[in-house]
Amino acid sequence: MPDVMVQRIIQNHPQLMGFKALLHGACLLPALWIFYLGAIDSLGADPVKALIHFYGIGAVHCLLATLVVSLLSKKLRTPLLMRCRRLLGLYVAFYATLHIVCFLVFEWQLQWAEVIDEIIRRPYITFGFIAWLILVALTLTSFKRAQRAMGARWSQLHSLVYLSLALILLHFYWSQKSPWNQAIAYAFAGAALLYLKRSNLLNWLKLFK
Amino acid sequence: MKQRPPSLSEAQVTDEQLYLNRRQLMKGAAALTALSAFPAPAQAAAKVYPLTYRKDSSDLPLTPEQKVISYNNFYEFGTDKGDPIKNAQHFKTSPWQVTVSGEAEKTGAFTLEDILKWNPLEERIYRLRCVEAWSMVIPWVGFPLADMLKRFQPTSKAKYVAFETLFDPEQMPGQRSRWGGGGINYPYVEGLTIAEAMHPLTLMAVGLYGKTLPPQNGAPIRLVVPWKYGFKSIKSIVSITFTEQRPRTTWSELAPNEYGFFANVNPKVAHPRWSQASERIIGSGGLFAQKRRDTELYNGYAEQVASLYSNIKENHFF
Repeated sequence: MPDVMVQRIIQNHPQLMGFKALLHGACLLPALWIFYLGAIDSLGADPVKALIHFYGIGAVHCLLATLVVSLLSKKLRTPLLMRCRRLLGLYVAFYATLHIVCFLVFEWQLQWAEVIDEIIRRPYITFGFIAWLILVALTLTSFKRAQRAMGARWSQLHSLVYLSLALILLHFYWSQKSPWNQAIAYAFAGAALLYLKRSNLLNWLKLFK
Repeated sequence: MKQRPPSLSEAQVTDEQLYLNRRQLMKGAAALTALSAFPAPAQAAAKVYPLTYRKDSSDLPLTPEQKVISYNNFYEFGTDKGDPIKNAQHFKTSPWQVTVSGEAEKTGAFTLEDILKWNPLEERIYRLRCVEAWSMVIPWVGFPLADMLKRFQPTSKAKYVAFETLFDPEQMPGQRSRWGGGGINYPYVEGLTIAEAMHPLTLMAVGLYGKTLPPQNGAPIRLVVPWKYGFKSIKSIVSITFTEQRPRTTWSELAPNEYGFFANVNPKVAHPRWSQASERIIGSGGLFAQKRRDTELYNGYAEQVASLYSNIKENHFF
């Protein structure tokens, strides 16, 4: 069977379509529901903090899920699973963007000067912001056409997702008041995933030699 | 579980004109009924009782009661701000005893009932500024710490006052492991200079919103120091010690580069990781009703407390 045919069968696989729809629902509905709760003041004493944290942790969950999917699809040799990776990856950027928009609009009430000052002066915010810029770059080049046009440089750029993960986890850990916090558990999960993907990482690092 | 309301000692029955009860007033009932002994149902499961006290005339807009009692940094009951209201409802606050020791003439153990007999209660509407750059306006009920401490007759050696929170891992899940309690080496300890402790703004609170403290807010007795970051206002106190040396304090021990002994509110001195220049007010309303305000030096109490620090050379804003 020619490759193009295989592609088409996979693309139009009804189970895949159903699974993708399910993923969209699982990623999109909580984001909307939590915003609604915040708007009607049903999100605890501080709806702003609750919303910002929810979107931030949502981005971390999606990012970890993306890497797990990528690992599993290779291990299990199921290309179907791989076809969900881009969708999940886009939701990482979606949640991270909501996280930043809420920080800007609700936490800082659109005081741009103060926000820019915070991004520059607070290392944990600087790191988070750089991670977001990476995610934006990956989102803008996530389309098939961009992938084809960029060739080898595409995977070079998209390997920055590992750097983004490291920056996000550091941002998460650093944002907590106590040095003994939940972000440590996420850091372990992130480190484990990076270890399992070490061959990709090493290949990527070789490009800079 | 039957519990005697701690508010009804004879010493507190005073002039009706001066001592009003906000709750009863709002209900439009006669002031006398404020002295009756029925327990009032609270929003939370834990029992709280109405108190009798002199009202504060401050007109600061208050943080809604439901938010004050459901958003708490009380790591003994979990590190999430929503944990304490869930985990503290069966916290036993009766019987309760405070041990007084150190550089004072009259030391010993005193029951909460004793302590409540010593001073009339008054309301103090204070802004509580958390080091995390948010604030709440809370109507506390209590008495000046100075009035309590004077009874113990501190000696000339008493340069500091050290406070300790109850240590009871059975009741306080956060104390059972480093992970559950944010890495704090329990019991939680705090301290003030004797001058800070004796300042008339420094309050021993036993209630808020006209009722006894809910457990998640530090029942049955806690400190409130309005010109300092919130972590100085230690909760559920079981020990007071007069010391000559500066006592160790929990957060400055956990992260010495981020939290100091004094921790006075100052918009110009940033936390190493975030700005303290302004704060978000926890008020009523959802996402679109949020307000930010510029943080004030000494949290707005500079006029009253700045003189405490005129002779202190070290950085007292840390």
